[in-house]
Amino acid sequence: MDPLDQERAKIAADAERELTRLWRAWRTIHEMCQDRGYELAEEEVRISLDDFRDRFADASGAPDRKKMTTSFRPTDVMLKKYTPLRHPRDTEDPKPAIGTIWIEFSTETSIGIKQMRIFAQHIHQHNFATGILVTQASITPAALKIIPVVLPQIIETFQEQDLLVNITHHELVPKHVLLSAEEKKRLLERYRLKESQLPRIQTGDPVAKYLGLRRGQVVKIIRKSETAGRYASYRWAI
Amino acid sequence: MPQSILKKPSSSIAAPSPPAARSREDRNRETALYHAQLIQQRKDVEALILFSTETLLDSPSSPTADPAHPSSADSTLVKNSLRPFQPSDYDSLIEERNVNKQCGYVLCPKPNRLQDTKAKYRILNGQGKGNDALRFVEKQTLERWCSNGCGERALYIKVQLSEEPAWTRTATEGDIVLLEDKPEIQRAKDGKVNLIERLKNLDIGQDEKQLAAQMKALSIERGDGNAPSRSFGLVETDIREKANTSGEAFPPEPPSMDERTDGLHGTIEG
Repeated sequence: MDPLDQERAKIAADAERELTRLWRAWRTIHEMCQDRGYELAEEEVRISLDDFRDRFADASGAPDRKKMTTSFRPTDVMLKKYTPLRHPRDTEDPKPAIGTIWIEFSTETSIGIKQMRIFAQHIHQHNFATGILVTQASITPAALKIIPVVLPQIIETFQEQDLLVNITHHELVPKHVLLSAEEKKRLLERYRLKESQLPRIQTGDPVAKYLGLRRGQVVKIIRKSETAGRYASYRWAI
Repeated sequence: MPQSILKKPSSSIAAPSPPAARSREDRNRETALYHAQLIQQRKDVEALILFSTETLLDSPSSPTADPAHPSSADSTLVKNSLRPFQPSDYDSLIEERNVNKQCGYVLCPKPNRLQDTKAKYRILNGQGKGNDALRFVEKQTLERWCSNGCGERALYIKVQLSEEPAWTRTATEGDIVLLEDKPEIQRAKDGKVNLIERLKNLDIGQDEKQLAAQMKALSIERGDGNAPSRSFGLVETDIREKANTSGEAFPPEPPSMDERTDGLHGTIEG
């Protein structure tokens, strides 16, 4: 085989590997949105590698990250879950603290303040409630400081390499279910607790990041138990 | 009527207790407010640092600026905005500039020098011999600046930044000084380059001669060794044979007894 062909074959193999990696990240992101409660069709989540190649590969067979953007709307169940309790002095019904989510795969190899500002601006302009930026490399610490500045709009960041497998499918990861404000209130009443008396979970915890937990939310963790069949515990996100 | 020294009945001191209760509430509120203000102050400083970092990403103002001769507007901006920075904030500013493919020194508009390798380390030829001949440098640190000069300028700023966070600093820190403001450092730095030459030019031989002479003088003073006393200049000890002018010399003879007999020996002077 002449060296030019060899070179070409190597490039094609690299492109194919890159494409497979991105396909897995893409699927994990979709599973994540489905688990959080956004409106997704089943075929969107279970996209096959060939379909993915048709949609996102460029002429050379490498994935084109520019095309890899999408957005979802929350389902009614999710809207209800994120609606805070009505306070007696409120005159109207409270609005759900959730909305359309925007997902974007970054084309940049490194993410600094500038790239983050552009992303934040895009979220702001289109009035998305949440934005997820999937990056190829880690983000500089200064750029991460922008995230709290743009609140109440939420920016979440993931690295491609962290999305290659869906961690919640691992047998050692128990099922995590987010409680609504109403459910949380009933839980605290039933056990006569203050929320600060619950065990805690950090918002930076991998599963908490997967579910997009916010400070103050309570998550129900259902484990298998040899003696009791199922065992539920509750954690307060901080 | 004499005043009682006993405690007053409880009814009379019950009266001021409601104000006391309220004052405790006030005190609690004051404490809470005090700490809230501290936190707010800290947040403000952090926001300011973030803002300054973003401003300094676009510095200097002109793309042709020379880092060795910054314009006065640029250098004032840098000096003012770097004041609340900690060294770690400064490091993240450099990292940010490198992400944007700029030299890490805030007053340099050039791109950082990219190494054409994926290796983690580079081997550079250093000055000197032996262990100094080769230097192993991380690629990342090389890619931070456009040149060694900019690296020196940037690190000169970094050493002036205070490790203490700006919100706990009490006294106002001194102004930040650019390397260009200190010509004497510049001169010393230039001198450093020619250190070897300067070492060669040093006249060590002369020094040694002087030292040897001094040591000799010292040993003579101590009295050991047969030293030329001339070096002291105290005693003239030249031994010289006198020219014989009076013919044959005779050894001196003791005075004879008969000279005593002339009666002189009994005389007492004075």
